[in-house]
This record gives sequence, C-alpha cells and structure tokens, in this order.
Amino acid sequence: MSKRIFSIWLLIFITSCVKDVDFKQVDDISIAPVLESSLLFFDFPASEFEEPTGTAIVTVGDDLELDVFTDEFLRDNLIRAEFFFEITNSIDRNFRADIIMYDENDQLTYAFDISIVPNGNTEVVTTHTEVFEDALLEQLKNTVRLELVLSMFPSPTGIPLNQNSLGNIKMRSKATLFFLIDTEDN
Amino acid sequence: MNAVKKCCILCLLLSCFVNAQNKQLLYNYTDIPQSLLLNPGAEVNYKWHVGIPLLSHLHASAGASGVSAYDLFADNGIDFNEKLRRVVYNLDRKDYFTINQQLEILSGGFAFGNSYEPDKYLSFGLYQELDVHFYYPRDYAILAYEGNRDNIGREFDLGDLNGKGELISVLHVGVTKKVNKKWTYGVRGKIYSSLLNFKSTNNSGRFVTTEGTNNFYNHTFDLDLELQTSGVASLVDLENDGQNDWNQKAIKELRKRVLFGGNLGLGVDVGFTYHPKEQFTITGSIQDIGFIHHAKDVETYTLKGEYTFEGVNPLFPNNGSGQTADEYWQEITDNFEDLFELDTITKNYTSWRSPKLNGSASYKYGKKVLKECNCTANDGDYLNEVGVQLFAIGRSRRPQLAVTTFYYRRLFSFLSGKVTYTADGFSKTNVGLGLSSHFGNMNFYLMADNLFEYQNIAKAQYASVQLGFNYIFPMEKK
Repeated sequence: MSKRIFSIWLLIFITSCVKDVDFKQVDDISIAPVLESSLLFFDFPASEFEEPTGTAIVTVGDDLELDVFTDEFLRDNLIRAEFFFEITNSIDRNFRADIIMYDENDQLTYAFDISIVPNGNTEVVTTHTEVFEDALLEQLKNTVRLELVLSMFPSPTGIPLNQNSLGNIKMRSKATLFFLIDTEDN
Repeated sequence: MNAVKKCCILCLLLSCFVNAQNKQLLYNYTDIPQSLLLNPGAEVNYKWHVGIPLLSHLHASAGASGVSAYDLFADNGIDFNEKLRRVVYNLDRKDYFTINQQLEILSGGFAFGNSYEPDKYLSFGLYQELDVHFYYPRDYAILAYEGNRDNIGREFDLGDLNGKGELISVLHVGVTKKVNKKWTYGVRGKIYSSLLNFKSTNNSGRFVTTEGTNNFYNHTFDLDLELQTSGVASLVDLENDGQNDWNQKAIKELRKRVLFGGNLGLGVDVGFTYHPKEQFTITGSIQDIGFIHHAKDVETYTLKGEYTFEGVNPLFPNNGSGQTADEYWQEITDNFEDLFELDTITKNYTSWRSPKLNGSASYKYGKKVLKECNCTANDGDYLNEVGVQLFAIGRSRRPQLAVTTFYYRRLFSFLSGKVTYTADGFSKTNVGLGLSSHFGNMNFYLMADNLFEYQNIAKAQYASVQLGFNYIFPMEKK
C-alpha cells in the first residue's frame, strides 16, 4: 500500500513541471517611456530693451548648469531628445535667440539659433524644434552648461524703444525625452 | 544604471514566484504535531513527539494575486513586451506579491498532568521564517512604463509603494489543556529574534505634471516616503574580499542572530477546539499577535519635501526679483537637492507581525465496520470529516481572506489524507491534497496545493508545499 501511495506522490512530482514558458524572454524587455519637462522661460516688456537710438543691438543672456544629460541613466537609455521653443513676440523688432551648449572643458558641444520676426505690435508666434539624435545626441550627453543669448536688432525704421513702447517678448520651452530601456548595453 | 535594470528584472522574476501563508491542509490535521503551531488548542493525542531536526516542518509558498509566471513568460508567440504591457495595466494597486517560507529547526512535546489521563500537552520548538509581502506599485509602474508626456494632469500616487519583509527566528512554548470532552484550549508564547527586517508601509505623496502659466508645464513633487531597516546596514558594511567571502561572513553574522542575537520581540498564539455534539467540531485560533522592537543596527531612510518646478528663467537681472542669476540658479538646485536628498536616520521602530486568524466547523461520520461482526467499532474514531475553514491574515492595507472546504479521511490505520478546495485572492479553484503516514512511530507528511495547476505550475498564481518527519508516541487506546 505504501508503495502505491509513494508512487502517487512520485507521479505528482514528476508530472508537475513548468511548461511552455521561456524565461529568457526577459532579455527582450524594452520599455519606452516618454518624459516631458519644462525648460527655459521668460517674459519681458519692450521697456526692458530700452535703447534711445533705434540703431543699437541689445543683447541679454545668461548661462546655467545643465548636467542632467551626463547622468548615467540618461547616457544609457536616452535615445532621442527634442527641445521645443515657442516665442510670442509683439515688440516691433527682430530678435534672435542663441542657445549654446558647452561640455565640462568649456568646449562648445552644439549651438543653434531661433530667428524671431515682428509684425508691428501684433503677436507673432514662432516655434522651433531642435531634435537630438545619433551623433547630436552624444553631444547633448556631453553637455554640462547651456547659455541663452537673446539679441534685439536695430529697428529698420530707426524708432527707439523707451518706457512707453508697446509689446512683449515671451518664451516657453520644454524638453521631450524618449527612452528605450532594454537589456542591451548601448 | 545597470543596477536599475537588474532591479526591474529581478522584481519581474520575483513576481512570478509569489506565495502566501494559508496552511489550510495542515490546519486541524491533528495527526501531525505541527498542527499545534496553527492552533495551540488543537486536540492532539500523543504521549510525546519529537520532530526530526531540520526536517520536521518545511513550508514554502509563493503567490501573486492577478498574475502568474505564465502570463508573462508563456512561450506562445506573443511578444514579451505585449505580455508585459498587459500585466502592467491589468494589475491594480490592491494586487500583491507574497513569499513565505518556514523551516523548523527543533520541535517536541509531551503530555503531562493527571498521571492516569494526562490532560495537558506541552509543545515547544524553534523555527525560522521568511516573509515578504508587497503591493503592486501601480502608479510607479505606469510612470516608469509610459513617462509623464501622455499623463498631463494625472496624479501619480506615491503611496502605491508599500512592502515589508522579514527574516526571523521564533522560539516558542505552548500549552494545550483539555478541559473536558467538549473543550480544549491552548496558548503559545513566542520570542522573536529578527535577523533582517525592512518596512516601507507609510508612504504618501504625489507627482503630477499640469499645464503651466509661465511655461508649458508645472511639475509638482510632493514626497513623503520612508524605508525602515534593521539588521541590514551591518551586512552592507561587512568587509568585502569578493562575493564568496561576503556571503560567508553574512551567513555567519545572520546565524549569530538566531538565538536572541537579533532584535527581539514577543508574540502569542491562542486557540480552542469545541465539540457542541460528539460529531461536530468548531475550532478557532489567532497566531502571531506580536511585535518586534528594532533598536539594534537600525537605519531609516526618508525622502520628504514639496516642490513645484516650472522651468528656468535665465535672463538676469531683468526678472525683477532682485536676485542675481547665481542666487536664482542656486535656489532651484537647492530645492531639487533638498527634495531628493535621502535622509538617513537611526531611529528605533516597532514592526507588527502579520496576525493570522483560522477557524473551522466540521462534522465527523462513519466508523470503521468490523468484518468479524459486520458492526461498527464503537471505540474507534470516525473515519471521515467534512467541514469549512476560514483564514485571514492582517496586511498593511487590508486583511486577505480565504475560504476552504475540506474532506478528511482515515484511509488505513497508518495513512490519512485531506483534500481541500480553497478560494482566495490568488485563485478560485485551488485544490490541495495532504497525506500523513505513520509507519511505526515515524510520521511523514506531505502537502501541496493548487494541484490542478501542477501540470504547469507556471500558470498557478499561488503554490505551496509542506512536508516533514516526526517521531510520535501516541496515547494508547483505552
């Protein structure tokens, strides 16, 4: 009798198994989250750019540390980045925004600019998308500092800007980061 | 970075081997001395017993509510990432993963009291237990899976992180007292020694991205997260001359904590058996009403703070705040650093054990028919028992319940069996089988549940196995 019981147990154990599963599939894992983050912004009235001659180039600018892209997780898994800028201008002048990126040795990694044209004091919306992929993405991943310079060009009609001049220049921007998380070492 | 990946993969794998603590097969199976661990008021009928050291009770179980290994790893031609996507979205924050394992190191017991008819049974022992339980952190999983771009306005609940784990040894002594033919009750005192503990059950906070005013988005972080650990920091700090060396040292260190060497705690089990009529039985027990006080080798990590980020306004000093660019930039960096700075504090804490409630109502029938006279043996036991059992375990969010119906049958004088059908959070079709054999005084038992899934255990959301050897000296029949 005990033999029979024993063989029943044996049978259960032999037939119990893990079938039709392939744990190696975990190697195929790929997750592709997309993150978006606010980036730079500003909003200035025309009076900030006060210049009495109407012929001067006025530049304002600043730089900021931006070392997130050197992070190991981003280095390994970021496959594409997009910077999106939206500039709303109602100052009757041409502007140019220069975005200049530097690595840790203060060497330029990449630079691009956005030209902004006016339409009198009517709001003109200019958008610009900068896409970082492949080699350009690598340059982004070496970037630790970013400089933004906003230049205002002389008025074609020679009208100076003063405290009472109309209009604003406003910028909003965001970064869209495309990740691909998988088991392959990139 | 690779650590993050490995962690993700480990969690995925772990999620496939999860189990719980219900021992419906062993409960009130009084042929087996370890039934006293589930109900100190179980009606055992031995003169004495001793468990074979390290072999008297081995229990391992794992379960996942809502998902099985098969769901994720089936070799069925469906893309793994599609299966992963289904798992990520189909589970909800109430789903959980659990692992429980017990190993009895020593155990024994003897009857005492009235010398003609001993009415008390003292049982004692030392066992080791591992228990890990965590809820599915749904919002974290979805944020990691999708990112925030397609979730503007959605609040990610950071309270979804909820888990605890412990490795303990338990030294226990219990007394079972038979009051009369109807009543038996018992109580068991326990001293817990915690080898390792972690607990992260009081988390709250949120992360949300909303449309901004000055910029496209406002990102709001509101964090209040805490992880308490004991016994972990000293292991991490062990001198490390390679992985093998570290493993050996860690095991040596853990072994020291088995007998009073760890963080100590106290607990109690109580239980009873009652026969309203001869053939009817009602039992009930509560196990592990107890706590462990963690004062040695404790480390608590907290992440606390609130911050809304809307981007960086880079053109200075024109922004009118009077701040310099440096000050402004410094403020943003400081805010982020404060927010994500992990504070490590040494703070004593108390962890409550997960209390377990068992109950049963059953009916015995069918005495053995004697061949000689074609009559039933009046002095013998009933051969069959049917009944229902209820199990509940307290967990950090809400108790988990299971209902079982069972049939017990004494097959031969040396063999008995129990079949159970259980419905719980893992499965509505869990059939289990337990056998207990007595050859001479040697008792061997083996139990496993989810038998229907045994042909392909990967499909089971829960599986458990228990086995053990005891040496039992039964009471003589009067």
